[in-house]
Amino acid sequence: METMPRNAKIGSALGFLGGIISMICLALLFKPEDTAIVDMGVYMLIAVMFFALAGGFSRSGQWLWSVLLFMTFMTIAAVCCAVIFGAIDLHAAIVLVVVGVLIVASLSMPSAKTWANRMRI
Amino acid sequence: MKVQKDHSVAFAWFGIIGVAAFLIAWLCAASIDTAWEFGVNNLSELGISDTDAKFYFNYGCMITGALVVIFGFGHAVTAKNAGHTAGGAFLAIGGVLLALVGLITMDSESDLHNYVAISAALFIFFALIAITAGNWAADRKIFAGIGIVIAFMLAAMVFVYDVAEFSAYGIILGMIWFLAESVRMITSGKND
Repeated sequence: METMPRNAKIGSALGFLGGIISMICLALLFKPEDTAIVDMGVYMLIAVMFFALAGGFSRSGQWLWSVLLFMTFMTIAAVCCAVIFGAIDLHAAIVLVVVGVLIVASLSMPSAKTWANRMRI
Repeated sequence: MKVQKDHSVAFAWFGIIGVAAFLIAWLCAASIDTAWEFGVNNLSELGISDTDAKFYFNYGCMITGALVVIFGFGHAVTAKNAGHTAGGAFLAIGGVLLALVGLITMDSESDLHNYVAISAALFIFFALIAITAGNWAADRKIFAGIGIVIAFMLAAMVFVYDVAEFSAYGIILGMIWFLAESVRMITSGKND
């Protein structure tokens, strides 16, 4: 069985990190008010997108490399749009965008590309 | 190993010079007209300023428009696929309209200035989408990703910002995309 390349491991870890940061922000932002539901929902969406990216790097990942890269850009775009709508904190967004860019960098490595295209169910 | 470049490298410099020209014109105009505030006043208000700022802004738009026309033409003639061809054509039309923004100022009696400015923005946005699709198809996926993120941000800004904020932040995002696309053209080999 082929071992997972280091770049793919780093990409997967970064995906989990982005998801965990989003969940922490969600917990910090929690208010038992109807008006907070939208902002909390945005953090939840971003967390789901990051966890999906982390899953995409796994051995039985759901996406080919090009789709994984596209979804990474979509995740970064979702974070940027959330900032424009004022739904998430700017400092948290900067950290999440940096995590997203690092995932793109890990995906750009040839070994991660080969891994993502070969290891399908 | 020497990498042979095609003419897209030469055309790419028009994009970089265009961004630099507009940035210099904007900064000069804004520094002369101290009453103009970023994100508060509409960008087109610089074109009808009581000070010399109007000359910097209007001539800046005309020069940048001409450079964008050449940049778009270069995109079309050195196109790798249909996305680049269509994007280049849109850019050329957007460049003509941008030059007209400098000619038809806000103080004209009709709403022609607004129509021309909105049309220029729309054509450049269409070019962004077409060229992003072209870059994705040409396997320049990182540059396509920059286009994807900027396109979504611009679309979100339409719903949230007023005209003054949108014109200021939108043009900054547009300039970032122009620079990224110029770098993409410069780094493209002949056989990409």
